[in-house]
Amino acid sequence: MMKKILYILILLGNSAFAQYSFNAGNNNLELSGLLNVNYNERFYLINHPDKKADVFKLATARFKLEGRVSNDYEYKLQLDMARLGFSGDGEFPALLDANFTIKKLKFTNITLGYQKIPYSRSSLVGFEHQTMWQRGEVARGQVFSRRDLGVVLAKDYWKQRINVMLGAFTGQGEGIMTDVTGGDNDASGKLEYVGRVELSYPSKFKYNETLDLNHTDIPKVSLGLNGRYVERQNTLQTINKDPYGLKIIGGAKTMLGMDLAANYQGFSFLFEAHNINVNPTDKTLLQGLTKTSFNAIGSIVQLSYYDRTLKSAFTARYDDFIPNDLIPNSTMQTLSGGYNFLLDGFSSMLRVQYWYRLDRSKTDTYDQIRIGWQQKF
Amino acid sequence: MYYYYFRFIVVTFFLTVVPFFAQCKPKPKKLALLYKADLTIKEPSDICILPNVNKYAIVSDNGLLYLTDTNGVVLKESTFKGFDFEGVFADESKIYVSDERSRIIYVFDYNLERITSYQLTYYGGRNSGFESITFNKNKNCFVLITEKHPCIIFEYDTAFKELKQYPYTFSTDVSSITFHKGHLFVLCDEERKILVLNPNDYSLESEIKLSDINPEGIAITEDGRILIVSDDEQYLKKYALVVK
Repeated sequence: MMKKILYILILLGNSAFAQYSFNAGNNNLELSGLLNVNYNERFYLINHPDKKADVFKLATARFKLEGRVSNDYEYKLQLDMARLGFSGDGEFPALLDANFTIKKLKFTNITLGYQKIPYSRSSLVGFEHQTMWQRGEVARGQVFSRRDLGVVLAKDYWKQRINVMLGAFTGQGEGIMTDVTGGDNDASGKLEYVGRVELSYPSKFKYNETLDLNHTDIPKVSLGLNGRYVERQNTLQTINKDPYGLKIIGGAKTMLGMDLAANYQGFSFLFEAHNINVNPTDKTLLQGLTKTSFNAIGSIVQLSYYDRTLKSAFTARYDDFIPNDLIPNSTMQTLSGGYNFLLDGFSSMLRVQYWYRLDRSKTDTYDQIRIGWQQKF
Repeated sequence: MYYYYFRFIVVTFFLTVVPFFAQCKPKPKKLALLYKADLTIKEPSDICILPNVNKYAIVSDNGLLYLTDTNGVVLKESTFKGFDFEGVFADESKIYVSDERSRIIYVFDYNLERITSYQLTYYGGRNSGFESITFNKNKNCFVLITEKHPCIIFEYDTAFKELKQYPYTFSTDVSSITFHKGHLFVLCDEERKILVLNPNDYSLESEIKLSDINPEGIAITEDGRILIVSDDEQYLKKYALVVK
């Protein structure tokens, strides 16, 4: 009986349609979606009344429309239905993408609208291609905004091995699409500027190559360097998505980051490091010291191995984050172990993550396990 | 609670170990490189040999068809531009090109002038359509295979009327196919291998390993040399099959 069920599961996985597309003359429209359901359980180190995280969760219920007009224009609209029910607190935009790209200009592609900010490889990798349920702390959207409304100019060189992206955004991050800002800009009227350069060798290295599914015989590497700068008058007050008060902080903020990714013989490696320098308008953040700024620092080191026979990926990750280097002993360190069973690649996948906190002294510290399934359609 | 953990471990074990024993594949053969030529064609996605004229036809992702010499040097470029040319096949007088995104088969003459086109119907992902096209001489029909999610073998008559579909489960993707001396050669880009199929029932006969990055096109010369074009690396390679 078990063998029959497994056989059916494997057949289903192999025959699943991931997207649907339609054509009308020069227009092409594709519909796709992404469902993620998981069960989460926390293990508090010290007895703690908060058990609400021990729960089934609909992590994503995304619906995406992507279209092209000839080879000249592209557009993308993506909504996450799982967030619609939580719009009441005004800081979880259900909208993930609403942008279009002009591709007919020779010197650059221009993308306008609400989109991902070209900063940090971890952030730019889509959720469906993540081996873990959560990105490393520094890149999971609680330290810097991952989406915003703005414009990006992009150009590739040398058989797409070099990619250059320059962007200007409102600086309000995800808040620009929520009640938190009501769609308004910061009182300073200043924009956030972003730049990213990627160098890959011996060929282009796509963001979705988080696992070396094909056990490449030739090592592939990609180095990314990126930076952001914004000057704001006000700190944007949010409830859940800005626990460190850094995302939309009043003052001058300079972010510099690098990432290095490599794939070889089934192994995938990722290293990221970020430094966020803030000269805050709220001088209490300087802890009474004779400094003009503080730094937030974070890094991620991740190694995965994909076994083609077992259709399984095993991932180990270390990540750390210091929200304010002027506050002693504020380092957060986490070890994570991940397991994926890829029934049909990333289209139909089991995803397991276990978080192990290295700092065991804080009263609200907990380890955590999350198990769930991803289905693309 | 531990009982549920135990059940989860058992299910996980079966999900991973059973597929392991289910996969029994033929031992792969290998190729020896004869020559490599860099192409000036951007993102080349398939290649075919024009019978009796000693030239190749190469298509690219930007919707263009090129005529080249046997070193891959471009002799001519089509004036007609499609969207996303991914598959190409030539008979004695015509060149058939599969536009993956629009699901159109364009037919060109040897001067790269467009003669006619056929609209096919397939609603899968726009980048998971027909990346491959060839003619199955054993069954006197065109064969097209969808790239992935899922891979399906389609047979069409010479007017591109659909005849039959077959499931395909030997690889996660198909980027090109070619018919050579009673065998169907299937190029798998992601798994970097060539599968040799029986063209009558599409059963697997053997497997050839590749080490190229992003191989997207395959053709086989009369003397059995295997031509591969790489999209990312933008080159043409000629291989000989290693005889064991």
